[in-house]
Parts: sequence; C-alpha cells; structure tokens
Amino acid sequence: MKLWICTALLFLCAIQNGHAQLRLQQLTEAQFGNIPTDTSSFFPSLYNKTHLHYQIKKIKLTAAFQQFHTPYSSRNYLQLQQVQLDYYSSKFSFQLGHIYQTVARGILLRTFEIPGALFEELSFRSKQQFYRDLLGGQIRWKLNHLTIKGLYGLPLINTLPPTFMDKKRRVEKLAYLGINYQINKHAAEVNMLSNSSKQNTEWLGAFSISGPLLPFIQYTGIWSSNGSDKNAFYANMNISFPKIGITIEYKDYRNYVLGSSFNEPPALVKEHNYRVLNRMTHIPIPQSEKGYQIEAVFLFDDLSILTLNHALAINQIGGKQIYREYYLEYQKELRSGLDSKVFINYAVDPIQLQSLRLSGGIYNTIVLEGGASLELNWEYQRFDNDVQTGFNQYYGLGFSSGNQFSSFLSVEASNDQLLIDQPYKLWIGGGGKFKVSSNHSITFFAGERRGGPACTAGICYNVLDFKGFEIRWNSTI
Amino acid sequence: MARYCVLLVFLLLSNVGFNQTLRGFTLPNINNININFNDIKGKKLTVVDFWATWCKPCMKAIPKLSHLSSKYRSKGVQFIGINGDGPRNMAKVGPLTRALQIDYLVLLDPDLTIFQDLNVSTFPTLLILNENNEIIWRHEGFLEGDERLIEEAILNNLQ
Repeated sequence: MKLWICTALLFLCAIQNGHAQLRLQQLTEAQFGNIPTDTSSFFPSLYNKTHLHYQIKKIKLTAAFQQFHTPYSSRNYLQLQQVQLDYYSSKFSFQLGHIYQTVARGILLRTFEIPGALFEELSFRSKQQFYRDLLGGQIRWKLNHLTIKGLYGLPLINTLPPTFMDKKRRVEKLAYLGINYQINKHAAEVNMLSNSSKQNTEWLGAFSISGPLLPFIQYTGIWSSNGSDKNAFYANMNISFPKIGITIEYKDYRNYVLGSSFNEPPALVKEHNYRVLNRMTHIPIPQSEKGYQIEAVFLFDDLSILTLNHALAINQIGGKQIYREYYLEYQKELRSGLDSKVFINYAVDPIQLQSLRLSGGIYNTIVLEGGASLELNWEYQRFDNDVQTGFNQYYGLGFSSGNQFSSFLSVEASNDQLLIDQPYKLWIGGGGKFKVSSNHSITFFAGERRGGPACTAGICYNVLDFKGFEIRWNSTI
Repeated sequence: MARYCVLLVFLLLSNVGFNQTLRGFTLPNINNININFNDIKGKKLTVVDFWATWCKPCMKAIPKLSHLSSKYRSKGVQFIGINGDGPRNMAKVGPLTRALQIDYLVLLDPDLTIFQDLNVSTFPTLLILNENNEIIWRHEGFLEGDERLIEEAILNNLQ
C-alpha cells in the first residue's frame, strides 16, 4: 500500500515539471507559571506547531505537527496533526486528508481554525491549537452556473486533547452533497448531509436562496430540517447606500445541536472586541433559540463612523429567557494624529443572571513623532444580579515604535462574587511584540491575565487565567 | 521501500524555490457573483488585503488602502480585499463594504481557503503579488503610519 502511495507521488512529481515551493510556518509558545487558582505546583510548558507546505503548480501537500511538553507526562504529546493533498483548478478541485468546510452558513456543518488561538481545557490541562476539521476528502466540480460539492469525513471533537486516540476524537461519519445553481445574481442551493454514529444514522437537508431584491437590497433565506423534530430557519436582509449600511437578521433554531456539535448556526449577537463586552457575549443555545439582530453603520463626511446594534434572543430554559442588547460605537479622528473611539452598551442577560448590564469605554490613539504611537484605553462595566451590584474595569496603555516594536500594560479589576472568592481582584500584566524580521516575530507577556469566555473570529471558547511569564515565537519562511 | 522514499524526497526537494505563487482562485463577491482571480488581477501588481469585520486594525487600514487603490490603479496596481468573516458576521460584510465606500473589489472567503493556501496566519495581512502571481511582499498587522510602508513597497516593486 505504502509502495503504491510512493509510486503515485513519484508519478505526480514526474509529470509536474514545474518550479516547486516549500513553505514553513511555526508557532512556539513557552509558559513559566500557572493558572492562578491551581496552587499545586509551578507549571512550565512548551507548545509548538509546525506547518510544512510543498506546492508544485496546482498540487499542494501540507503536513502539520503539534507537540506539547510539561513536567506531567499524561499531558504531553507529539503528533502528526494534519496531512492534506490538495488540487485546485477553476473547474475542478479536490482535497484529501484533513479538510475544512462550512455548509448553509454553519447550520448544517461548521469547521474552523482560529489563527494563533491555543486552547487548554481545565480538566485535561493539555494545550492544543483551537480548530475543528474533518478527516476525509472533498471534491468540487464547477460548470457555468452549477457547482457540485461532495464530502465524506469524520469531524473532530475538539474539546478532547490530542492525548486521546483519534478514534475517540472522531466518532461520527459525515457524508455531504451540495448543489448550487446561480442565475444572474441569484443563487439557490440544496444540501443533504448524513451523520452516522454507532447508534444511528440521521439525514438532514438544507435549502437556501440569496440574491438582490433591488440594487440596494439583498436577501438570504436558509431552511434546514431532519424532517421531524429538528428545524432551523435563518434569514437576512441587507440594505446599503453609499455611507449607510444596514443588516437585519432573523433566526429560529429548534433542537438544532447536531451530533457531537459539528454545526454552529449564526449567533446573531454582535461579537465585540472590547474586553468587558467580549467576555459577556451571548452564546446561542440552538436547542431553543429565536430572535433577531439589526446593525447599522454610518460613514460621515469627516470619515467618522457610527455603529448601532440591537440584538434580541429568546431561549426556553426553565421558562422564557429574553436576552436584549443595545450598542453604540462612534469613532472619529479628533485632530490630526488623534484617533478616538467611544462605545456604550446596555444589556439584560438572564442566562448570566444579570437583570441589568451597562458598559462603556473610550479608546485613544495618539500618533507621536517618528511614526511612534501611544494608546490609552479604558472600559467600565456595571451589572446587577441576585447577589450584588458589581463591576468590571479595564485600563490599557500601549506604545508602538513604528512597525518593529510595540508594548502594552493592562490592568483589569472586578468584584464579581460569582467568579472570585475575595472582595476585589486585580489582574496586572504587560508585554510586547518585537518584529525581528519580515519572517519572524517574538511576543511576550508577564504578569497576570484574566481568562473567561472569549470570542474570536466568530467562535467562542473558554480561556484559562494565567500568572507568570509567556513568550511566543512566530515564523513564516 | 526505503529507496523509493529517498528518491521521492530527493525529487520533491530537487526543484524547490521559496517565492510562493498563488494557484489562482474563484470566490464570490458581495453581490453573489463568482470572480476568478486571473480576471481581476493587476497588470503589474496585485495587492491582496485579508480582513474581517471584527478585526480593529483591519478597519483602521481600509480607508488608507482605499486611498492607495485610487492613487495607483491607473499605474497597473489592483487592490483586492478578501474577507474572512465566518457565518456569524458574513451578513454584515456587504453593507459595511458599501458604507465605508471601499474603493476596490471585496471577495468572500468564509472557509479561509485562500487564507490557508497562502499561509496567512493573522488579520490583517497584506500581500503584494507580481504579474506572475508570486508573492513579493508580505505585511502583517496595521499600525498608524503603515500606509507609508505599503506605498513604499508598491513603488519599489513598480520600478
């Protein structure tokens, strides 16, 4: 078998009389410290991920290795994380190995890789890259107006670390066929997906249409179901004029957690960058969630930007729970070399037991002489729950010396009695980034970093607190 | 078997170069129309900006890139924005693109296919490609004043 694979690869090399390319990407992170709540011992760790890409014309081979080392052997591993053979042409493409695919905006299937994000689960304490892929293969065949996609693969359960065998991390088999037909600017898509596990096989379907209603109005509608108890509906309408953009989205998800949770329907709640808001992002509960989101962006003549957002989500968890959020952000260049951004947010969040949550903040960037810049940031959040009226606060100070070096100091404070076991807690930390060359950069952190829920690139996960020293080396060669 | 493997490694490495080339791609634009890279690339240079709606430095960079795009379009430089928003935010890309009056074409890549194909690891990343689709300049992140570095790179590679 291996001989056949080698022969096939030799044949591929022989017919590709082109200039090959070899690329390497690596990320190394060393930590000396521990999570503040774990007083058992000092916990140094070393994580590395290395990607090798070899490309000849339209064929690309990728191999990714991942390793993690600590004083505890049960947490350590060295694995060949991903292998992929990929062929691309504008009419036809295929991928074999570890693949990514999103179907029906994530309602049927959502795989992802969050660049640079590392994930460590509290119970396993074994660090890994935060991703979810499929092990299998997929093809795409494109005719004039028709695109046909097929896929077979085993989705990864990414909450289990690589110290688990692959057969425990990939327990389901997915088969998918999708047909997309485009006419003028409209598209219709039919998707069928089957999910087989040891217990049963389930069939799911999704139908979507999208296109323009008027030159300034666009729509999308997606219906998905297993034909009985699982149903999902998503729709959005975009209205845009020069300097004004409005997005209206609606969701209705009923019993729509598929298999080991390999799908992720659109959340329809704003993903905030601000620390106090990002940590409180509403996570959709697709077992029972409906609601809407409206967002409007205005660009003014002085190039200042106003963003307004309102989201509402209704969950049936021990009764009707209604999450509401109103958000305003305004950014403006106050004078040459001074950029400012302010935000305010009002939310009612029964799932986090908060009857009221008010947040606000201001971010300033001051450009100094010689290309350097200074950042002064502040955020404040007040919340009411059954236990207390509490607060979260963040102060940030940053300095950048051109593109080569940047540094920051951050101070966070909270008296949230549901999270901390003392009247008041401070997290103080600082760090920097040094760009050694166009291929290498070093980032470092020292102090204490607050963890908790975090949302990046549309995916939410839990980050552990950290206290100690951390250094990261990133390379692309 | 061992001889096969040695021969394979030798053959794979015998013609290796380190300048990465884009294999081409077809992605939908914000109006749902599939666009082929070869139909839109610049005559001399193509500047590809990978961005996302949730990325603060990306938002800071876009007005500056729009300005550079209009300044250098007539000189054979084509800017292309590749948006990497996933299902959570992709509905907002069209209205935001029009509201911000982005001067160049924006394409949607929710599965980050091109992002991974070009070994991009962070938002924003800006690549400059020559007429042979070779990546000749790469820039990660965006800080105040970086637009001058980008313009300098365009000018250096236009000569």
